[in-house]
Amino acid sequence: MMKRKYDMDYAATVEKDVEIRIEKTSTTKDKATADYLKTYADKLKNR
Amino acid sequence: MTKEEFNKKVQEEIKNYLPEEYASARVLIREIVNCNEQKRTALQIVKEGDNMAPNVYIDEFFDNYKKAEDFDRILKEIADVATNAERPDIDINRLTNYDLMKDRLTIELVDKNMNSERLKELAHTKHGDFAATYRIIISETAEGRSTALVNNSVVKQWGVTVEQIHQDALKADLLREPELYKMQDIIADIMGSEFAGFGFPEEREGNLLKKDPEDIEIDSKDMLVLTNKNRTNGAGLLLQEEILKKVSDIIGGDYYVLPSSIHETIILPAEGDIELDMLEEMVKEVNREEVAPQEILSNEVQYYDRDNAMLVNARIHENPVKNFDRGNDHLFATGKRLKNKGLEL
Repeated sequence: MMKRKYDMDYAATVEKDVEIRIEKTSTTKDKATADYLKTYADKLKNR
Repeated sequence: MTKEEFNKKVQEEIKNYLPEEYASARVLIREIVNCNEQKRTALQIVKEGDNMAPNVYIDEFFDNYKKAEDFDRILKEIADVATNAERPDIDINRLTNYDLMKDRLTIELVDKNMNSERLKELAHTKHGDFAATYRIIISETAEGRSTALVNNSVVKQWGVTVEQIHQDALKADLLREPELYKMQDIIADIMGSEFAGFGFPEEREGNLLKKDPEDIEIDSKDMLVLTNKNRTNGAGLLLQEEILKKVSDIIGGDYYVLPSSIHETIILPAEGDIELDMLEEMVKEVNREEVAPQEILSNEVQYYDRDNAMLVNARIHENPVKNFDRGNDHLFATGKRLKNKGLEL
């Protein structure tokens, strides 16, 4: 069975009362970014 | 089962699915607030004596449960995710040392009104419509990065002012290769060969910030995209005054800034007959329909005024006196004044 991929990050306790959240993010160089930029390009070229 | 009942049941029963070493672990359900106040529910399993615990977001598991998946199987899957999570390779104690962290700071620019609750917990400075929040870049590869948001308790631990953090983050971001591309270049770069045949030029002009403005031809209909090499949190470059000025040198005048996402912004020469109403409507529509909610930067179009060397809300720039009462003491991104518009704060 193929494993599904879920979002996750870590809560790290640096000291007493000091906690930070360590997040993992993938680079945004993806199709979703190109899609909304292309929407802007299409709308703006007719201005 | 409602979502609240599901969360409670997961919290009560997950230990039955965890290995023996988790027998004395604490199991917590916490609400995590992301950019633009996007809230998610995390299951946190804290092993005794451990200083790091995974946040496993269980909203997606609840969605699967609603699709009639077996609860027992879902608990097994949550336990599997929690126990097999790849732990960040970091010495937590280093995070308390500001001198070690200051070069790792980066600005995450957000809309201050869309994050008003969240900002109460975070170190931030206000700049016009925006607030600069700060992340520590823990590790960075071609695939992505691990970061931590700087909250108030971290600032207290560091013993520095937020203004110091801001200045150090500005310096650090300048070293992360700011980039200004023509729109067609950046789309082609992201889409690669998929874009072949769409009429875009084969020869790309590259990063315009690295060129002499005299050598760049900009048409009034050109669209430019301002971001950084990693295309992550690139909207923070709007706080770099030298970059804004260089963009103006390249364009040869004033320009509009469309807040396309927290990762990049779109620059348009303020020439011809651009209607601000149209730009504002476009930004709202694209934000509403296409941008991931946690990556929306703002609905407020900005304007770079070359004479005053400042970035300002475009609506206020258009008529500062008329719009004066809509703002507050953080009206202008650079803190300067629209002297040639007859307005003094």
